This record gives sequence, C-alpha cells and structure tokens, in this order.
Amino acid sequence: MEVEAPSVTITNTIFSIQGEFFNKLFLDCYLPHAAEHCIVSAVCKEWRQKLSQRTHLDFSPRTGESRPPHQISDDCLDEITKHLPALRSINLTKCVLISSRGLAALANNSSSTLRSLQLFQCHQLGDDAASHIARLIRLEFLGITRTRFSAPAVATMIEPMPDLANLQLHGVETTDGLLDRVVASCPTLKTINLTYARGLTSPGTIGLVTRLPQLQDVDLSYCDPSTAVFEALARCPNLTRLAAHAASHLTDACVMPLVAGCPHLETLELVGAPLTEPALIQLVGGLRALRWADLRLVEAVSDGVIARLVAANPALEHVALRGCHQLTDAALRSLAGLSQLAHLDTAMCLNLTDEGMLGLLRARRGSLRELIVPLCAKLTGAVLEEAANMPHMTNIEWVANQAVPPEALERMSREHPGLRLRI
Amino acid sequence: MATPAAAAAAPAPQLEGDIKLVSEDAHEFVTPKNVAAQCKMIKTMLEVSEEQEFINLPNVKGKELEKVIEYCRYHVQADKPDSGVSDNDKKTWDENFVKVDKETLFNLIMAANYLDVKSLLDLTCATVANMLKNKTPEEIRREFNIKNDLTPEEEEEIKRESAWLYQ
Repeated sequence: MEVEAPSVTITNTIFSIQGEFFNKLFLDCYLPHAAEHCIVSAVCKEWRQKLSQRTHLDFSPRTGESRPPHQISDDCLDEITKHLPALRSINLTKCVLISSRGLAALANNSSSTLRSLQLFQCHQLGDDAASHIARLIRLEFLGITRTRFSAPAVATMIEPMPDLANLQLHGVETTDGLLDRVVASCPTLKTINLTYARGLTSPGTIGLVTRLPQLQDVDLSYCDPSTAVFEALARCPNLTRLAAHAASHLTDACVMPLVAGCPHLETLELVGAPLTEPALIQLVGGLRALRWADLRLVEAVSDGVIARLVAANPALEHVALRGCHQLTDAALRSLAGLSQLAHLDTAMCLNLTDEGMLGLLRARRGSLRELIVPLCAKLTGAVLEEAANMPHMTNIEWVANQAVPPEALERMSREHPGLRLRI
Repeated sequence: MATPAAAAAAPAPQLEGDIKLVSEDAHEFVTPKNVAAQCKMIKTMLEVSEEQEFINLPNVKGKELEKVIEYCRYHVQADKPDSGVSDNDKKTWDENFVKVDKETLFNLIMAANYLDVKSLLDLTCATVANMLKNKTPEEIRREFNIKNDLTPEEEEEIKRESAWLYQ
C-alpha cells in the first residue's frame, strides 16, 4: 500500500520550512516572546515574511523575571506592529515605557484585527491614551489592571466595544457611572474583574450583575461586597466563577441563595470568609459542579466541611486550604478520594501528619501536580520524597517543615530536574 | 504544554503481529504493529485494514524511519505505567535521541510530521527552537548557514524594530 505524498516539503536550504513546521517552530509555542520574534525575523527575507503572519505578541516578563529585561518603546512598538497585519493579541504587561503615543500607533496599525489587549501595570499610560484604546473597537479582552486611568477615561474606551467579553479593572477607580456604562456598552460581557476596584458601591455592583445576564465570571476580591451584592450574584444563572477574597460582610445568610441560584458554579474563591461551619457545610454540600475551591484562611473549615465538599464535588481539581488550622488527617483521607486532584495547598495546617499525607499522595499519584505544604511542621522528608517521585509533580513548596538532609535534597534535584522545589 | 515524554504516553493500541514498513530508499523494517501504530498515520491505515503486510512510505528515508521506529519502540515500553522508567530517564533518553546532525534533525521533523507522531514532532521542534534562543540574527545565520538576503530597506526597518533590545 502506498500513501500520499506529504503536503509539506523542505526546499533549498534545510531551514526553508513551510506550513505546519513553521507555525510550530515560530508562531505557536516555542518562541513566543516578542524579543525572540524580533531576532528571528531579522535572519532572512523568508523568515521575516513568514513571521509577519504572527497573531500574538508577548512583551511581558518571563517566569522568574519581575519585569521585562528589555523595555519596548513607543517607536519600536509602532515599527513592529506595522509589519504584523494579522495581529490579534498583544500583552504589554509591565512595559513601563509605553505611553499614549505607543497606543496611538497600535490603534493605527492593528485596530481592524486586535481582539485582546493586556496593559497590566503600564504606569506611563494616562487618560490621554483612552481615545486611542477606544479605536480598538473589535476588542474582546481588555485588561487595564493597575493602571492610572480614571473612571471617565475607562468609560470612554469601552463605549465603542460591543464585543467585549472580558474586562479586567483590577485596582482601577470604579464609579457607579462607569458600571452603568459597562452595562450599556458591553451587553455580552461574560467576565469582569473588579479586585481592589476603588469606589465600588453596593447599588452600582448590584446594578451591574443584575443587568448583564451572560456574566459567568465575577471577581470582587478586596471590595468587601455587601450581603445584598451576594444576593444579587445568586441571581446570576450562568455564573461559573465567583471570587470574593476578604469579604468580611459575607454572612451565613448569603450562602443558601448562592447554592440555589448558581448551580453551574465551578470555581469558588472565598479566602478569609467569616462563615460558620454549618453554613460552610450547606454551601459546599449544596454546590455540585466545583472544580476549584479556594477556602484559604477560612477558620471554620473542618474535617466535616471537607468531607461534604468532596462528597458533593467529586470533580474537584484544585483545593486550597492554607491556614485552615482545624484540619487533621481525616480531611486528607477525604481529599484522597478526588480522582482529578491536581493542586493541593494545605500550608499552615499544623495537625497534618505523614500518615495522612502519604496516604493522599499514594492515592493521587496519577493526578497531583502541585503540593503546597509550608509550615506543616509535622511533615517529614518521607512526604517530600514521595511527592518528588510522583510522575506528574511539577511544583512542591516545602518551607519550615521537618528538616530534610541536604544530600537527599541534592539527589531529588538531580533526579527531577523539571521539578520546582521551594525549600 | 505537555512534555514530549508525557505526550507520548498515549495508550498503545491493541494490535498484534508485525508490519513491514518500506522507506523511500527501499529499506525494509519489520516492526511490531503496536510500535508502528505510535505513528497516527500508520495507525489509521492499520485500523482500515489490519490484514495488510507492508506499508510503503515514499517520503521517509531509511535513516529517519529507523530513528522514528527507535523512538516509538522506546516510548511504547517506557511509557507503560509499570515500566519503572522515571520521567527523568525518559527526558535524558529524549535529549540523547535528538543529538544528531542538523540535516537528520530536520528530516526527523519532516518524518514526524508526515507520520503524525506528535510527541516526536514536539521534541524535534523544541530542539530547533532551543538552538535559536539567545543568539543574534548573525549567529543564527552562521549556525544554520543561511544567507542574509534582506534588502537595505528591510535592514533599516529591522534596526528600528529591534532598537529596544539593544538599549
């Protein structure tokens, strides 16, 4: 039997790569950063031409860097985007030299194609950039996290963006007027992040969540939403993620409406919630679709709460219980039943012992990828050894537990070079 | 992104017996079907007709076909849950496997793409990408014997685009 000739061929030089190969090498995943893009596109005419098809540019710091080692300037951003007619997504995280002029150039070059713009901590940007961002009318994602834009400037930029589905306003001044404009301008918004949003009021937030029926993901962390806001959230039928870290007004009375009103909730993040144990049992036992539960520093979390959580939500993948100091090995025995558990954070849970943790690790050998256990003072090197030997483990945080001999640590590092181990 | 070794961990199909694979330059390799089926393209053909005794692969030379079979044979064994081969051992084996000259590496990319062995394609592409990292355009040209055919205008454009990298 003969098979058809491949659709891709190598011609002339060994590096004349076409189609799928080129996409794989340069456009997809292996050379994602803008710095590499610039270097590789300067090699020869063919590569330059092919790289002009690029759709994504990432100028953000790489893992382990606090900020990009090279800072893109307005002029360079103009030159680069001028030659990328298909650009759909750009990440300018911590690009502190980018000013209004750079955004004007981006709007000139990419307004017809750009769908995603991330401007995390771009401190040079002020309200004068709003009119340029407003020209990117096809944006579906806009992140202006920790920037200096005023509420009227944000309202101006989102007004002509009817397709906006994801708006990140983390740390941005937020008024009721702005939230009204969000509702009016972005009727199909699915995700909104208002973490640390200064100036947020209860009526404004309630107006937002009740008038955007497609909302799926709401983050109100560090905004201290009122009981009335939680009641309004409980009336969002499509909600799949709710994050409200440090919500000091979350009362037991809020819990039941959430259970009844948000049947599709997959992610629940209530770090530091002042709920009682019976309310927690009702909450986690009433939800059935959770895959991600972040209950760090929730003092009332007990072994009984975890038993209910696991029984009601067998598809949980991520469980964070840092600082839930009541927990004992009984909780670990419950968690061992989660067949898809990939991430576990039990830092500062002082009662956990080797017996419970080793049992969990052996039960979840095929799924666990991350184990965060600093300050679990009873855990010994046996747990660390077992975790390091798990086939899919990528990250272990192990600080201030029982001492592990340096030679054992050295051996683990040598045997598992891909493992990130924080001791 | 899954590591090549992890990606190769797809369960081996339940195929019995051997199949003869014939390369472009007429080299013949009698290979267990479950090894050959790590190549998705071959797997599809075997599923269509289990009875066939040979498959002609007119676009893969014997040298590369032998390497692909070596890769598949190793991973069929090593990726078994009870193989006792650690991820670290597999990673080391993969690293050694792609220590080949550039022409072979590129022919392997071709073969992995044609035969549809995703984990091998990932491994070989990642190897090439790593060879490009932390080099200047001139160093890349030297490394891969590429002629600089950019026009003065393009050179000027590149200078303007890349100024931020050299400040």
